[in-house]
Amino acid sequence: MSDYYNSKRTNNIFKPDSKIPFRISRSKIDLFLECPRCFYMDRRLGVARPPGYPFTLNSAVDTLLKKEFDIHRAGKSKHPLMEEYGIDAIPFEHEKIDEWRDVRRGITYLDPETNLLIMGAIDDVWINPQGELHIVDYKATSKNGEVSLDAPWQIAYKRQMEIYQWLFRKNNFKVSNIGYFVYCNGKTDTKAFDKKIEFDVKVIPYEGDDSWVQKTIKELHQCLLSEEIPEMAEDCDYCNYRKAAAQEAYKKMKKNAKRA
Amino acid sequence: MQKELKLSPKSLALYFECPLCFWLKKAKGIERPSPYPFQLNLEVDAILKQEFDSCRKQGSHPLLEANNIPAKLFSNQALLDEWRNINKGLRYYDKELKATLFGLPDDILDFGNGKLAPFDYKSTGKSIPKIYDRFQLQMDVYTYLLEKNGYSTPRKAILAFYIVDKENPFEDKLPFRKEIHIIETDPSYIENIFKEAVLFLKAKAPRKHSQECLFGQWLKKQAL
Repeated sequence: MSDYYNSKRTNNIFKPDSKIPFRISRSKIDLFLECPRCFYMDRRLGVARPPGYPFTLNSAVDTLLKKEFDIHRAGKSKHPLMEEYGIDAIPFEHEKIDEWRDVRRGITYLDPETNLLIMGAIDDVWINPQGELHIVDYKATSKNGEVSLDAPWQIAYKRQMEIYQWLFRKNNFKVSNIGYFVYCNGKTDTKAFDKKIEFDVKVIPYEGDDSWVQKTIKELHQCLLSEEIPEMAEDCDYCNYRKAAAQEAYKKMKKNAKRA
Repeated sequence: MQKELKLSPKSLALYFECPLCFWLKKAKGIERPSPYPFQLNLEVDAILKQEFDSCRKQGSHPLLEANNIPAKLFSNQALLDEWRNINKGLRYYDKELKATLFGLPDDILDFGNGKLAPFDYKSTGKSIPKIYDRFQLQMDVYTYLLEKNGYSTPRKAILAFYIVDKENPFEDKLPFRKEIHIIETDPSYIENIFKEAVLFLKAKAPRKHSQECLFGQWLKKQAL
């Protein structure tokens, strides 16, 4: 694990007096909204949350879905899912599609007010006959019952969609408020495995509202500029763990010192 | 800690990685923040259990035959179900330590003459499967537990890797190719480690996070 974690980074740290645009990915915007303290520790002090194991099966679903939609992108044709859900659109063909989908590059916008380079990597984008873009994100899980966007934690999915919509608008595209989640739910009742997991695939439309994005970028920038470490979010697992771990270790150390 | 102390391969791995994190979790109930669950891997495990169970009566499965594994699927379904059950598990209670070591094997192979070996399913989206140290430890613990439960073992474990085949489009399914890896297991050090970890929870030496501990590094570097 330690091979890919550097607890004290020296790169990608925000320096208030720097003139070079500072890159902020959409996941860091989400981190800021989730817990400003964790965000500040990460981007200002260079101490990121320890990473977990990667979700390789989910990444594989994304890869295969991309291949599948690419066939229809090349053929300028509707994917059967679009027919099934009555979506009048086709995968959007654009010279930058690979760049937009690459997590290292993505679609970017340099915010002149803050000098922050906002970026996000999309899964897909579709276009309707009116020339409007629909942002598309693939999700994969396995659960009983229908997938939906109703769980409280899924606000992260909605924000993700809205940031992408905002980024495409800032890049002068005409973007529909309607985005789509292609949600793949692994079937748990499959009798025989036969070398594959089968999925129920559902397309869930979501009407986004990106009006919060600009304001949040400004707040996030203020947070980065500040010399004060922001308060933790009350429900932040990481900050709560840090507090509890430090307290118990301290108590134990004192106790041991007394015994010695 | 006054409750029955139960350690799993994961607990031992945590003890190896960082004794302080292990102590926080086992003695104080303070756990590292957990990631979202690995739903797809859990599902592959669940489906594979069904599949291998459906072949258990006839003893063999095409995957074992194709790889010339000279073993049958463990025939005692009831006992296997118990070993897979989180409330029971394959376990060993050490009277002196007053602690239990347990594991939840996916499956067991019977090599004849009463010899049993752990058989685990591993799924990955990476192109090349990797036998991580934590897999080795897990298999060493299962081997130890089988032996403590009176079985002899071939000192081997069989890992069935299900690797996503990314050649083709999705078509509502995630296709896998399969690879069998046989690894040697060594249960000889487990007893000592188990003992060391249990005694550690009762010891009074001052504690620090290990140097390699990511959470320790993360905690230390917080400018608080």
